[in-house]
Amino acid sequence: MEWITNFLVFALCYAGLSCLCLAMDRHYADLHGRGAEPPLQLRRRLRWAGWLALAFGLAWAMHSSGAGYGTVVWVGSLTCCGLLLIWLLPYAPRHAMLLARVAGVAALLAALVLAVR
Amino acid sequence: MKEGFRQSMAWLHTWSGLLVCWILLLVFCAGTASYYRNEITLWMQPELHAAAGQPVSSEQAATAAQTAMQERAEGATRWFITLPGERNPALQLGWNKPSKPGEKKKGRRGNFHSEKADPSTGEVLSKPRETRGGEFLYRLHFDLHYMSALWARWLVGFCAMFMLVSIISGIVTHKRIFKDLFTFRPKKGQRSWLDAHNVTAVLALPYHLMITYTGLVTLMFMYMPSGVTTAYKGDQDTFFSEAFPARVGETKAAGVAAPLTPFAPLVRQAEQRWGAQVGFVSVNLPGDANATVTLRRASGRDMSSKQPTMEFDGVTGKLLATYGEEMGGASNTHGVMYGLHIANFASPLLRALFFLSGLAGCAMVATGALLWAVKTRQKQAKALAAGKRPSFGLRLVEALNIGAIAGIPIAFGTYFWANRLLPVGLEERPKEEIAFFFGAWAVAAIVAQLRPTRAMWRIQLSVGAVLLASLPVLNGLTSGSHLGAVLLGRGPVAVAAFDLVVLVLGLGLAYAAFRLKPLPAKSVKSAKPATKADVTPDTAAGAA
Repeated sequence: MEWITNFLVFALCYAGLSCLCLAMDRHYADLHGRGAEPPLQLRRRLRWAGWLALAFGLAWAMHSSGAGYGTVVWVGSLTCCGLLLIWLLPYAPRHAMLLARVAGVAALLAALVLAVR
Repeated sequence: MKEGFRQSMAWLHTWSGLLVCWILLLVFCAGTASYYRNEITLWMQPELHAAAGQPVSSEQAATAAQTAMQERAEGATRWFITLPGERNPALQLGWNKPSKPGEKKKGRRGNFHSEKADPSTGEVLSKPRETRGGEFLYRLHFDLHYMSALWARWLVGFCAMFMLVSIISGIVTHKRIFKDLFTFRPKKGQRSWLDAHNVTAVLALPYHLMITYTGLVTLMFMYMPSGVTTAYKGDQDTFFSEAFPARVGETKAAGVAAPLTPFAPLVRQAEQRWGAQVGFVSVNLPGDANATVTLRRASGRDMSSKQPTMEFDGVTGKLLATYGEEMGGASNTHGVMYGLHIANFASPLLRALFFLSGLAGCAMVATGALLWAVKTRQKQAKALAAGKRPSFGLRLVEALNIGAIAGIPIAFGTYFWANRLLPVGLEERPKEEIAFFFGAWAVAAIVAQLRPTRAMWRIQLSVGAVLLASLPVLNGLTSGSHLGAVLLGRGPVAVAAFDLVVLVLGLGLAYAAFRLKPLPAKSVKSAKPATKADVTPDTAAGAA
């Protein structure tokens, strides 16, 4: 089950960062054309979802592998996911966001599996 | 006033970074590689690839070690036994032979003998080729080479301090640190280099701060001795024996022979007490009536680098003392900081994340150095267009950049090639391998100084790419554990992982070289293309 725990932290980090990224004008415009801005409500929702995902990722990492170790894992995952996202964005923005959706759904599934077990 | 402050910080950031960036790049590359120093050493000793097999319990391994030592380490006054763990499958035995009277001392480690043994039988493993392996890279990252370790540590500490200054002034200077968090715009010249520098710096910022600060902490007793000197009135030895009580004491020999107690019950007792594996056994005065056996816990997932130890009477097996089980706050803080730096506690996944952040650090240093050159070239654009030569400083920095950023991967690649191609029985083989490392690097650096051009970038990046990417082939030809064999389950995974990582880094370098293809005549003005991909891989390759 260790891998599913690690995967959950990763998926939450990637999905969370993507939400925060999409809530910013520049990156929203990257996807929806020049000058496009996210509607206020969407922006607010994305921000909430993003921060929640990151916070839940941290909480889960700390819960599953201890406060100190979990924090280190979470920070490392953030760096890794952030680099991946930034690298994808200019070259394949749609794929980056598709991956974010997949990561979000996968995170929900992984959380379900871990909760049921 | 505010603008003035930020500008002065920008100045500080530029110059504190530029002054030390080439040494920092070496330190970062070698340090990043050190996360895998055991694996690198294993790769560099193909004779041991086959032995990396079945795990053995530490009790069994300790017993095997004891039998082996009693046969082979006759007359030794100390034994050092490293039990196998998840990253080192072999048993490591070491002992010091007493120096005979009249015999010249052969230096600090002159009389030290060490060998690797099979953990289940204690038999010596087929003697592997002599190499310093990953240990060389590890030492290189704070002791440098061809100079006294003391001077090197001061030099590296100086660079690390500048790095810390650079990081903090960089944060102050970076006005749009949150707004530009996800921003990378490729193919836009100077803009792209700045983006790449920001991204690699900010995304791994916790890592950069941590590694620089804890790096200074690892050598803090050397850099800042005043506290200890004041509190202990100059008596450093007392401080160290109180701060690190686990060190093997200097007990006097009784001169009466007595059989050594078996290790297995001691190991069992320690493992029950700690609920964790024993990693290291040392024996003082084996075979003497005053013998002591000291066990140290293996580094588990615990972040502190300090492991508790238990000391036993070497004849009766009675527990004499335990150390380090209850640590004070300061000691524990030091242990955790040290532990974070060397990351011995990291699981394979976390180790990979540390490695990745290390690569980001290499990329940050390299892009910073390149950025200075690109900016300065921009400033001199008019003069250059009019046919003038670049200024001395610009030329120097551009040449040093080639020598470091493209040269370090060449040095690493050559080191690994030399490891496999030098004759196995060569006299002073480890020295020769290291000579190849520095020889190749010196050639790269000197040639770069002679002709610091775009073509030189391309040539050196290509050479590095070929050297690194072909290592899996070399490994296949010179050992039985090629990628195919490992994938089929007949060979250690660590070797395959090494092959794949250097392959990826080599391909990255090749891509960078490809991106530097000769420009069409009209746009010769912009000297270098600028994307993150151009620089990330070449610095990264050094860290393989």
